[in-house]
Amino acid sequence: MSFLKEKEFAIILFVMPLLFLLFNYYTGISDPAAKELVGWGSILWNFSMLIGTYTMFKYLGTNLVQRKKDSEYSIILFISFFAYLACMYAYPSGYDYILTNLQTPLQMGLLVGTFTNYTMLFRGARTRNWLGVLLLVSAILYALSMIPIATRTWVGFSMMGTWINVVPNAGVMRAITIGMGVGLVATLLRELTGKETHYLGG
Amino acid sequence: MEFLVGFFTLYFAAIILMCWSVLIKSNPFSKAMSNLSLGLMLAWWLKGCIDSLIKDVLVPASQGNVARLTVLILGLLMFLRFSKGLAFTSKWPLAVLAGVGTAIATKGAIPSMVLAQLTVGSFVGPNIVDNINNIIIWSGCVSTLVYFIFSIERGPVLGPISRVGQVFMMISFGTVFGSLLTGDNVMASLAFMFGDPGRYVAAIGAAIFVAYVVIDIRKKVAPVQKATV
Amino acid sequence: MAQKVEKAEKWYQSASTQEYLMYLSVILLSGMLLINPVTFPLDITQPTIDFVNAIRSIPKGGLMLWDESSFVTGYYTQNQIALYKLFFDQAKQRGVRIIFISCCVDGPMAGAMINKQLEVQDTTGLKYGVNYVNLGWQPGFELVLSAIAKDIQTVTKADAYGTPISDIPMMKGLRTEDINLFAFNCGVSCDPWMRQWVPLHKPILMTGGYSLIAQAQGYIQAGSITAYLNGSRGYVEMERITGYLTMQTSLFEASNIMGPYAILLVIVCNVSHTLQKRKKRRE
Repeated sequence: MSFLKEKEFAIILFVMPLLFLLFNYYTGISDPAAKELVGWGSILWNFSMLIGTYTMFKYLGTNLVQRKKDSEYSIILFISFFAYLACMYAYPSGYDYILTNLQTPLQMGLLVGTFTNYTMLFRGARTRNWLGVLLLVSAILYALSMIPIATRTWVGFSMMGTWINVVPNAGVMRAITIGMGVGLVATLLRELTGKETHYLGG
Repeated sequence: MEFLVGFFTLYFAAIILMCWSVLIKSNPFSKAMSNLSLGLMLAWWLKGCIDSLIKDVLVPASQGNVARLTVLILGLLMFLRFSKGLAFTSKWPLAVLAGVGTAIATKGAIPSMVLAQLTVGSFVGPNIVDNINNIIIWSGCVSTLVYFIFSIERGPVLGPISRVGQVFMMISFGTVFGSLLTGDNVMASLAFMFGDPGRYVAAIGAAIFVAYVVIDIRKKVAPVQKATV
Repeated sequence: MAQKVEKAEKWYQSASTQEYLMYLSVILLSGMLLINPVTFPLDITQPTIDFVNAIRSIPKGGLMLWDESSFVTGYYTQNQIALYKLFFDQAKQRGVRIIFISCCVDGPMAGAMINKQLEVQDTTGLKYGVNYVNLGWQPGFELVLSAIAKDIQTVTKADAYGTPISDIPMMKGLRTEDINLFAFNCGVSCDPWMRQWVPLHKPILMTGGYSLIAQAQGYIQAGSITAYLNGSRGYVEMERITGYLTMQTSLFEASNIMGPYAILLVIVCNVSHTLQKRKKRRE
């Protein structure tokens, strides 16, 4: 029983499905079991979402009870959550109303990224060295290749922007992708040897 | 009925303005809207998860599917994290989930993220422009990889190569940054603001905004002279 | 004794005032174009032509899978509706069958958008379950992509409307190998799709923002991604090719002013920073 409490037992539970799925991938043996195991992953993901939701509600509820700053807005969260959930199951036209007339403008209105982008461009797009200038020149040329008025003004903008995207950018992205792929495999080896146990919560 | 349609667009625009008010200052409207949005999205997530659990776990398990019964037990074990004595059992399903996820991510990594990326075009083909481009792509790839090698000291060979890699990376990140310069993401929301009857809400919002800006400017502009004798 | 005089701060020197003016000018400039749209001719780029041709090249009676990740903006600007129209045209003209699914990591909203987009399509002559099926949003992201790659039958037990997969004519006996083309809409890096679908050696189409397409260039060059739509411009070009013009086309015109405005901000920022540095050096 004490072994069940050890970290090593959880590592065994991690390694066994991992090796089994890799074995199935390279040999094709035991396909039905592998498919079922992949399905288990999605299902356990769902359970973790339930836990996350419960934990978040517990945290917000505790803040509300302790009357922390801005905790009163959580009431709106709770009411909207339960009302929407109830409508989804019991009142379809209410659900459609909320989706079309509340959630849609909220989703669109919360896209304030464009405005903060402009603030960032105005305040933060300063170059301190020639590499920064290179970044900005590349950005401007690429942006101009996407804008119809620029490409109509001079066809070179389109050619230069496309070339930057397809040649130097592609080379770098290949390198980054290769690095990520090799990193994934290296992380796999570390996890197989038990050196990485982040999934156990530290 | 048409009046109702107009009414919905009216507070459609009002909700968008309340969300945008966060750009000026965090205020009760923006906080209320962000909490409302969070509540609605959480409800969405939970419905998706519950529906999936019902059709993929509870129904098959109730019909005697042993595999789905096993995963149901594993999933319920996750909730034991809140129990002091049995919290260790909640790590088991997480370990299984992590193992499955790692296997899935890694098995596809080698063919698509490594092997496919190692293909390189010809340097001696019939089209000289393509040849030059392929050489540039290859140079960019190798020099960027060299840049990320930190376990070997950068001497007279690796140093310049990694410098070239930096140059390529700046050009590449410029394309990512360039997407911010096109500026067409806010158009859909503005279409409602300038449409009918959203423009009336927008006009009221604009008036409040201008008034706020004028008051803000007056507060910030210092007194003309303060003389000390 | 000397008089200490404090200079008044000019109203335009305040950081917050500058930001407010910037927001106001963004709204006014965009509004100008929304009220008085100006149409510039648009050159159609090769990637968009390849994308439309790839969809039109699906064999008669073939099968395509579309993974949806767009949210409300795509529905309200109608660019996704135009894309779906392209799919359904192939379904009507050449008997192509379509599987709609969403593995969106951002949540079930994308699944709801599939429902809404399907509601506004003209499906005359098509039958749900025979010509197209909506599997809805599936939780798990890469786990679902892997399940699709392994065996489409194991992705879910029922479609988005609760009908068991075994009762859907189109899904009976269907294997992943029968799918002729995979296409996805991407709001995050395309690596998960590439990891799971590239080993299938089937055509893969991608739509996504400019930065995501830039990040995917490695895969595009390696041939893993057959064709793509590059951000808003790609969608607008697709609309020009297919003739299904939507609000997205008119909204895209705003980039003719907003793009140069953003570039101007960058230039002004750097010029003012350089001038301030020189002023400090002189002092």
